[in-house]
Amino acid sequence: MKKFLSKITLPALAFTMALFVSGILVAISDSKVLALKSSPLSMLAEAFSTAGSAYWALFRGSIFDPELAKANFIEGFYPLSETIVAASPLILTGLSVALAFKAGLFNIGAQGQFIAGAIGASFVGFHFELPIVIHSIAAIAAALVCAGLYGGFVGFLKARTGAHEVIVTIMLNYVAGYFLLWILSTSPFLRPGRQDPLAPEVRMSSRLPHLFGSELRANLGFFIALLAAVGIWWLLNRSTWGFKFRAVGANAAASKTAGISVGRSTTTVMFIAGALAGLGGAVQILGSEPALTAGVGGTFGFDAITVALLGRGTPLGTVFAALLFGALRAGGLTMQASTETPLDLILVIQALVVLFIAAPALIKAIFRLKNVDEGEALASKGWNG
Amino acid sequence: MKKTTKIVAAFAAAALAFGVAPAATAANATKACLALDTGGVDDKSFNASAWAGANAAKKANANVSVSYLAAATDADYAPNIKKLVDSGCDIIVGVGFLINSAIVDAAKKNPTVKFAIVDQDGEDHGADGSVYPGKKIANLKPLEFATNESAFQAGYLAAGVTKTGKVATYGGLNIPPVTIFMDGFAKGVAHYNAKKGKSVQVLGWDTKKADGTFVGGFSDSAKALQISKNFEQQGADVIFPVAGGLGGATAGNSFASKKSVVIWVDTDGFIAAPQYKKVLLTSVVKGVDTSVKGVILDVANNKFSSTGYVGTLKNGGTKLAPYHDLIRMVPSALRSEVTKLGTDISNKKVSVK
Amino acid sequence: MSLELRGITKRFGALTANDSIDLKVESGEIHAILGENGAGKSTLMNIVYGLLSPDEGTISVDGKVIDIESPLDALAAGIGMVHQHFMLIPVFTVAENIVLGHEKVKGPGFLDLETARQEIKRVSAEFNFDVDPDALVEDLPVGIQQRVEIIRALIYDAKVLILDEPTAVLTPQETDELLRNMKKLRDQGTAIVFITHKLREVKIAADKITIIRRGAVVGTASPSASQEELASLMVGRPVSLDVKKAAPKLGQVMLKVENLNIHDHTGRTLVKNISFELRAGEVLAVAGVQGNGQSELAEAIVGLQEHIDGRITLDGEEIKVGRVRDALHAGIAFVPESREEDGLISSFSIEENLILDLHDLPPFAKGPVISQNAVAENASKRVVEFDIRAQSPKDAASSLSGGNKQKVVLARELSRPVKLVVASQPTRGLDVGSIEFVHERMIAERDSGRGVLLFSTELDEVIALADRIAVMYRGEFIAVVPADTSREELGLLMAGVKR
Repeated sequence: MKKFLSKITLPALAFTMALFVSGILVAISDSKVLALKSSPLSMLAEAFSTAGSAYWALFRGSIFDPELAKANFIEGFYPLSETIVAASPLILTGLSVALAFKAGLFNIGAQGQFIAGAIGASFVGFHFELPIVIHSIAAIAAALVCAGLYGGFVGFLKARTGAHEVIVTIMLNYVAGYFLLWILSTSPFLRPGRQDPLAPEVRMSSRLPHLFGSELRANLGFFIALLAAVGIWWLLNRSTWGFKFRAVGANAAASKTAGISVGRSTTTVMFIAGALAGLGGAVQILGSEPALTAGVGGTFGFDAITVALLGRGTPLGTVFAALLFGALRAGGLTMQASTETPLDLILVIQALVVLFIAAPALIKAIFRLKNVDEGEALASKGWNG
Repeated sequence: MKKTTKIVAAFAAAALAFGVAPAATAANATKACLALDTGGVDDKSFNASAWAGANAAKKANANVSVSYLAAATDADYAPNIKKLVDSGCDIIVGVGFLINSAIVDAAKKNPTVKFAIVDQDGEDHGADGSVYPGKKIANLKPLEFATNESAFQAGYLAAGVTKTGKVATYGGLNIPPVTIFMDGFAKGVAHYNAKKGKSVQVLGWDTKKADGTFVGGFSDSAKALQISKNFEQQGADVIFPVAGGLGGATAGNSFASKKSVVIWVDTDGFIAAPQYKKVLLTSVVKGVDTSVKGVILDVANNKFSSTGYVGTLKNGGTKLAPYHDLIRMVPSALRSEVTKLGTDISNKKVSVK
Repeated sequence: MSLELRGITKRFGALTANDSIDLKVESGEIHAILGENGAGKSTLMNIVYGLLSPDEGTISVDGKVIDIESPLDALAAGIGMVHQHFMLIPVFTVAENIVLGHEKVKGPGFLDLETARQEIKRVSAEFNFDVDPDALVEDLPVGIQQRVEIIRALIYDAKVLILDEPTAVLTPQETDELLRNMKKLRDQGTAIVFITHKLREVKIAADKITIIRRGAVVGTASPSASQEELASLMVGRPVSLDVKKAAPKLGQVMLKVENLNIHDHTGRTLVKNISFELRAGEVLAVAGVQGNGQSELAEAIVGLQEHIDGRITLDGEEIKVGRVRDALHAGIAFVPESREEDGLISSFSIEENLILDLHDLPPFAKGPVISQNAVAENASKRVVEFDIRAQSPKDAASSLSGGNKQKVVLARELSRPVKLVVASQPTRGLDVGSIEFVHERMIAERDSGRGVLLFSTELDEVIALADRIAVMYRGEFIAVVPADTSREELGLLMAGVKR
């Protein structure tokens, strides 16, 4: 317990600091606050009120909304459900980056792998008529294979030719993005009667069931993501494969000397990482966005890098970081819709959280802490850390 | 816990306490909200135009407050609209063709909230969108624009200005709110040819096939640039890009090559994108701002009706912008012909169909 | 001139690197500071040279307490230092390196190298150093580079010269040359502080010996003390320096290397046409100065080198390029030259490091799952068998001392069925106790019928363990000689002089 506390102290304080600094920004960006600068006391009160109502909206938008709960108590959790919906794909892409990181690889390609998975899941989802459950499984399997191969290709290239995975994955992100644009203009992917890049919706038989009734969008995808996190934890910490991955990641030379095939590990890891990101794409398509569009990838693949760093490269940390990002995203919309606080400020909070976590020394200095666990300080090491 | 930590915690608690007390609001205030598409509020095109209209309404009526949410991906439309409903908006304007089905669903679910949709008919076409004509919805007002009228004028103007005898247009996506411009433009050229016995060619749109050149989206500026260069190579010296902010790529190319001039779309480019003013012949303006301002003020004044709004040359919902710096390219005879053409269209003397 | 340290204490966090050390060095004497790796010798000298500042204590020169805050202060006070790793810029000439940090200009911004050249020639001639001021440092052998460092100290009028492990990088001949030069400097009145852990050199050169153990002075000794006495003081318990071994009982040929050539990826030849045989029950030691192809040869034998021609067979089975795992499982135990980089994964626990090679085989793997119990059980057995001193086998390998790290590597490599042990610099950087352990283990392996191929740059080690000695020079075995070959002859061979 004590160990756990010392592990979460830094992220928690970093988050608090980020909220505090952002609160100041919210307050001073409000013209009402600035108008009161002649009387410091009422200005302070107004500042508290402004920042307070912004954060209250953030809470209402990400966890629980008493207004919505008046009509139907479950409805009050609509915001939490939105948080979960935003977090689920992010957990999976985050795991993809985190797993690769543990194996000494920097997977910038979660975006492209996500798209590859979304294409696979979408095609199986709308093209075939299959019984319920089997249809979902088939669509997910298609996503895993498409994205797995897409990621595994990177590992294979690296193992065979030494091509650096960072460059290859970045380029493959472009390839995936433009391939998606192209494929959306081909006849199998065109919605009947439409000319714009919008694929048919996947059939109901392939969709992931909602968890809390049809009003809340939270769906089975969240459990798939959690299951994947547990699976990756097991893989890394309990299996022979994970042992190899970690060994190669921590010291490739020593692993090679002990007879571990570095190339095989690299290829396998990138296959699994790709499959994870692709599973994120499947969860998005089968869970919350039934039609494939050019914008399906959003920024899931890129946010994944931050999420994995914030989660210190561990599966559990990644889940929490993704939930935090999901909450900020869901709550940020409410904050903007109801208080005129720009959504960009949410990005500022995200950036500040990462900044404070990446600079543990800063937080330690501010709070005069000693002896807290800095973890592997993944975020502060970055490349080849 | 250290002292500093306590202080921060106290601050946070205080902030929350202040915040929980709901801000007092005026009794008859109107909250107007925009649900934007993925272009974002700064797209220098119809999203920006709608937001300008909302702010104009706020200026005109002190009881109006405004807010917007922009979608990050296409999956965000429905949740964003729900967020807006939940945060107490009185009127929600969906901006963009793609947001239509989400607006229709939300309007049906929330009969007490007023909705408006830009560039769509606002009818319920059923779950798979195949029911035509669709069902009208009582709390949803469509805001549509007969932009083919002003585009027709632009086509006539382009045909009169071209030296090479070739003009061009391209679109973002092959969807009605885009192709209506291209079609009007091509027909305006045809009108000029018929009237003057000329044979000015239009690249990028075929009125018979109702198909033409498209970027495939509204964000790929590299492809827009390529299309513009191709047009120039084929000899076009007036280009009309109908692709929102992508017009910047075309204008930038013209600016560098000096081989063509550009007709801007949606807003007056001379004001929205002044960096290109040296190559902007005119703009085909779509009055998204005036229509959005109008519907918001209607709600504020309790005069909302679901009757569709169609912006025309006659009511100022669409128009050809002033020639600004390039007025010297347009002979005064041509200027008066174009103006006359506008009146004739309004009076149904000339058909743009 | 005399240098006196009083009560010097330096702490790094919880570690006390120097614990109230007193030391007095007089001009005209060679004062050896003897201690094991990590005893605190270098820390002490870095304090004297101004690279570290002491937490407590004073430094005085000629009875006057002085403040040394930087190497410049030290030089001004007449203290010069030659570091273990030279502080020279390879692409500069000798003269440029020497004026570095003290550049004088002549006229409008022209560097005055001429004065420096004259000075270098003068000092060089005085001590018979034979250093060309205009040679590029990177073209010089290490022995000469070291002389450049010494010349630099002398030119800036060092009256006290600190030499930090100066013989670590030298061939035996170069070592002897250095020791002669040190005596010459002493005779001219320079005080020399000679930091080392090599007993033989101390006995040859030192006038006084101060022994440091765990950061504290544990005693002084005269050069007439026996090596055993000195070692016992250094380690803190009786030490036997002789490796006891019986005559070898030779078995069949274990390792056969035929016409082996190794290239790097640019095609440069690193190992040239080597052929030899190694029998069961025999130690073949490969001697040579660092960087003559020993590392590459050792790696090639387990398949770690990519570009090779020739044939390597272990007990009749061919070792194939890149098939490291096959080589290890065919019966090679491999102790790599760099423990930190190739031997261990520092961030992994000791138990995990012990199964790096066998993690996916029973009993450690049950199907795809690693059995935590089997791993822990194995670790507790090995920790006892190899006397690995750790708080817990679950601690990271990085928490271990050098000796214990090497024991982890040995424990892992010797836990498979082994026919041949290939050990590269197995005692480098280890304390005397660990060296003893490693040596005994090597002989034990030999006596139980395995072949041992030992690569070492330490001549003492080679002589102590070998049944036959191969000397490697520029990628070739220039000679394979019997174990009783004289030190002088081996030294000549290591310098490339053929018989």
